[in-house]
Formats: sequence, C-alpha cells, structure tokens
Amino acid sequence: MHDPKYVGARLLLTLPWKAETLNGKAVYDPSIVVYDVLGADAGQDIAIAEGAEAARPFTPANAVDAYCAALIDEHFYQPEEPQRAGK
Amino acid sequence: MKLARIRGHVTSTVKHSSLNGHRLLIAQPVGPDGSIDGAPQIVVDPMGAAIHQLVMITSDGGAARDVVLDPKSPARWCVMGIIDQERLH
Repeated sequence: MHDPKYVGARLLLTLPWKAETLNGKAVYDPSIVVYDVLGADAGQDIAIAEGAEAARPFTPANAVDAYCAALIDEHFYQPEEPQRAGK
Repeated sequence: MKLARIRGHVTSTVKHSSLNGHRLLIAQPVGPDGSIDGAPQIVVDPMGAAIHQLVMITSDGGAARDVVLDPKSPARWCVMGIIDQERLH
C-alpha cells in the first residue's frame, strides 16, 4: 500500500527512551518509525509526539501517528530528590 | 491525568513552531507510592513547576494545544497542576 502523502517523507527509525535510559542504561522501548520534517540525524535525541497529536501538523490530517516535534539540544536530568527538612 | 515527578528539562532550538517559548520539562509518571509508572515524557509546562515537584500531567492534546495556542501543534503532554500535598487513604 503506497500512500501518496508519504512520497518524499523522511521516516526515522527510533529507540524511544524509558526511565532506565535517562539513568544511563542502554535500554529502550520497542523501536518506532517517526515522521520527520526537522532533519534529525542518526544518533540525535528527539522529542516524539505519538497518537492523534502526531497528525495535527498535517492538512488534511494523514495516517502519521509518530512525529518528530523537536530536536533536543541538551537534556538536564536529576533523579535524586534533596532531603526536605522535617521529613 | 497522571501523577508525575519533574526530573529535569530539555532545550531545543529546532522544533515545531508551536513549542517556541514554552518550558519543556522531563516528567516521570509515578504511582501514588512514588514508584515508576511508565516511560518519562517531555511535557509543556505553563505552570512553572520546579525540579522534583509532584505534578499532574495530561496526555490530552487538546489541553496542550490550548496552552501553546496552536491548533496544528503536535504537543500532547502538559502540566495541569502542581500538587501541594498528597494524602493516601
């Protein structure tokens, strides 16, 4: 099945992050194909919009359910919680 | 809506225009007991939640689009409220 709306589209093979990924482990959720108009490169971190929201940027909406919404420059992650006084 | 703990933030120069100027936080969905409850999400934050704060997040794209004021936005997750106190029964 060949949907004309995909002609010329850039489709990325991605590895969605899990909680463990943010903690430095090389574990990921199952790979998904993501529609990209921002020009993400291999190895680049991106923000993926899934579900109906992924088709929102298109007019008319099409069958995209994973869309690259942002190329991530940096992420700042700090899982430890400071001990609050009186806890 | 889901409970989530703010664990950090991301910066992005190249992104969908609707996200320009909005805080993009890393929110880890948690259960009432604080345990991990799903994959971490990048959420649009109109409320100014701070690191490690407990928040309510929603995956309703309509709410996110109302925050970014763009009907074509791919934004899905956003902070709906910052939790002052959590009481389990």
